Amino acid sequence: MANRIPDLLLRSERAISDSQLQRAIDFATSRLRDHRAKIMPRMKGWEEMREQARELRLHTLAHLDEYLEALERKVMQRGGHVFWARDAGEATQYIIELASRRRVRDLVKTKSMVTEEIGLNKSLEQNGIHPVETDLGEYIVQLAGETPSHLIAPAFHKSKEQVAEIFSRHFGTSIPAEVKTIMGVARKELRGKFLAAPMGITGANFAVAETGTLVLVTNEGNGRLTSFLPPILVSILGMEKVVPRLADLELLLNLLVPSATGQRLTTYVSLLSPPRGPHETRGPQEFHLIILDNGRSSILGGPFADILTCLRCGACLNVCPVYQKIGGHSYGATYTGPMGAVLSPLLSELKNHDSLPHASTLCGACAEVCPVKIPFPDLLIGLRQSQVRQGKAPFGQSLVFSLWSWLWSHSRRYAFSARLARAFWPLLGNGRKFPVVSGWASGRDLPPPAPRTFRDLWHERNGRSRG
Amino acid sequence: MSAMGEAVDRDQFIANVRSAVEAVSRRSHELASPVRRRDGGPAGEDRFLLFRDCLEFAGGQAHRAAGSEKLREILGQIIAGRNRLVAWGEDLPAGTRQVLSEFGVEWLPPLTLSPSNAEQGIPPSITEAQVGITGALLGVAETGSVVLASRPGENLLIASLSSIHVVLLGIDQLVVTLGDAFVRVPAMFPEGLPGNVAFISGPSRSADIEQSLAIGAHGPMEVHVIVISS
Ligand code: SF4
Repeated sequence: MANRIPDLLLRSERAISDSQLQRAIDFATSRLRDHRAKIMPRMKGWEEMREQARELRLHTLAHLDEYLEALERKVMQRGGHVFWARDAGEATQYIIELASRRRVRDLVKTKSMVTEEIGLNKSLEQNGIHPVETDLGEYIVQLAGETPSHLIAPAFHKSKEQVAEIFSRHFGTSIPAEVKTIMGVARKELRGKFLAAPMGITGANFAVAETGTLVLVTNEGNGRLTSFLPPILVSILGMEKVVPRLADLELLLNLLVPSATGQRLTTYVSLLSPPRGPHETRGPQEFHLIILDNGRSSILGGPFADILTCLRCGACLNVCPVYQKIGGHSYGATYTGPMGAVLSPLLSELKNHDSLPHASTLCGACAEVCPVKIPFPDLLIGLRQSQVRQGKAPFGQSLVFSLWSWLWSHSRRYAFSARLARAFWPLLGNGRKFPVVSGWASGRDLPPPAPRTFRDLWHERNGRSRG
Repeated sequence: MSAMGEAVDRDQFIANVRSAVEAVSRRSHELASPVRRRDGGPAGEDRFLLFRDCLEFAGGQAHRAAGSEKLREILGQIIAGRNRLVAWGEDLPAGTRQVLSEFGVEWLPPLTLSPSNAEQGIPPSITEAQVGITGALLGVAETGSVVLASRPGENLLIASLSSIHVVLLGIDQLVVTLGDAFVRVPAMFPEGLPGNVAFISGPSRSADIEQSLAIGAHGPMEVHVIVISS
C-alpha cells in the first residue's frame, strides 16, 4: 500500500466522514482510557516503575546479542528448535516448510502483531495452509477479510450488528446481534478447532533469556489453548522482546496490563517452556521458536532505538488526538498510533511510510502515558528532520520553510514581512487562502495581523531612537 | 543435535545485532537487581481479604472455609446440583478429598494414567465437565491469581476446558505479590520450570465486540477459589 502524504490524507478524510467509525473510535478509546484511569490508584509507585522499566529495557537492548544467544541456548537445552529469521520472507518460508513436512493443513493461531507484520496468514493461504485466528476480535477481522485496527482491540471498528452479519454469512444461519450469542457461537466453533489442530502458532509478549520461557498475556483463554493443545507449537518473537530474568516479569506485567486494559493482571498469563518435559502428559511435543529481525537491527543503536522498548500496550493510541480521529486503518501500516508513526517507517524500507511521522500534533500525550517513557515528540521530530536531511521533504514544503527562515532570521526582513502581511491580508482571504499551503490553512484560523506592531508601539513609547 | 539454532545465516543475524549494539556504550544502562517490594505485605486473614478483593476485581469469587463443614456448604452452593464433576486428585489441600468424594466427583488421574494413554485424546470427562476442581501451586493476593503448572498436565486441561473452575488452596499457599510468585515457583522446580505455568485471574473474558465485557470466551465462565485452613 502506498503511503505518501496524499494517501494518508485521503484515507483519513474517508475515516473522518464515516460517522459509524467515528462513534466506534470514540467509544473504544474513551473506554480504554477510563479503564486505565480507574486502575491507577491501585498502582503504587507508578512513576518509579516506569523509570525502572525504561532502564531495564534499554539495558536489554544494549546487550541484545548476549540475551538472544542465552535464550537460544536455553530453548535448545529443553529440546526446542530455534530459527533466526532476518526478514519476513525467511520467517514465513520456515513455517510453510515445517507445515508441509508435517502435513499440516489447518492450524490455530493467537493474536500477534508480529505475524501481521510478516503477512503470515496470506503466505500460509497461498500455500494451501489455513490458519484460524482464535482471538475473538481477530476472528471477526479474519472472517471480514480485513486487518486489525488497534493493538489490543482489533475489531473495535465493527458494530455488533456488523459482526452478527459477518457471522451469519459465514455460518449460513441467522445469528442475532447479541454479544453473548455471538461469543457462544465462536466459542463452540473454535473449541473444535483447538482440539483438532495439529499445530498452533503464537506470538510472545516476552521471552525470558534466563529460563528460555515465553510469556503469553491474554484474557480470552485462546492463547493457552493454542499453546497447550496442538502437538506442534511455533512461536514468533520480535527479537526486541527478550527479558533478562524471570523476576523481571513482575515489573513489566505490572506496567503492561494496567496500561493496556486497566486490569490488575490479565485473566491468563502463560509461562511457556516447551516442549513438554518427561513428567508431563500434556503440552506440545515439538517446539519451534522463530526469532525475527525484519528491520529491527537497523533501528538498534541508532537515534530511534527507544521505540524498540515498546511493550505494545496501546495506551499511546488511546490518548492520541490524531488516532482518535482517523482510527487505525488510515495509517496504512501494521503498527499505528504514535508508536506506529515511529516504528512503521523505520521497520520497512520497502513500503514507504514516510508520511506517518507527520500524523501527530506533537502534543506529547503519548509520552505521558507510555509505561516505558518513550520520548515521543523527540522521536517524531527527529524522524521529520532526518527526512528533510535526506531530501525527502516535498519541494513545496522545503521552499516555504527556506523562504520563511530566510525572511524571519533578520529583524528588518521580519518587520518587512509584517507590513507585507497587513497590506495583503484581504487578498489572502483573511488568512484562509494561502498559496502552496492552502490545505494546511483551510482548517485553521490565522489571527489577522494587528494594525500596529509591538515594535512600532515600543519605539513610540521610548522615543524614535533606534539604539 | 548441534548447539546452535538454524538460520539461513545465523551468524550473520547475530553479527548484525552485535555491530548495532556495539555502536552504543553497553555500560550506559546497568542491569539493576529485579525490582521487588520486600515488606511482606498483609499476612493471615488480611492477606486473604486482599486476595478476595483482587479476585473479585477480576470477576472471580473467593471463599474462606475454616473447616470441612464450611467447605461442604460452599461446594454445595457452587455445584448446585450439577452432576458432571471432575477433579484432579493431586495438589489438593489435606483433608479435602473426602468432602469432594461426597459430591460424587469423577477423580483424575485414574490409576492407569500414563503418558501413553494421554495420547489417546482428551477424555470426555474433561471436555464435558460442568465443574472442574483442582489444587494450585500458589495464590497471588495482589492480583487475585492462582498458579497452576503442567505437572503432569491434566490439571491444566481441567482449568482450561470446564465451565466452572473451582480451586482449593491452603491459606499458607497465598503470597502477596507477583514478584513473590516469580521467586517461589522456580524454587519448587529446581530441575527447571514445567512446560506450562499458568497464572489464572478470574473467568475468561472478552471485550472485543463493542468493548462490552463478556465473560466466558474460551475458558471457564466462573472461577471460584476456596481458601482452606490447614
Ligand atoms: S509506545 Fe508506550 S504507550 Fe505506546 S504501545 Fe508502546 S509501550 Fe504502550
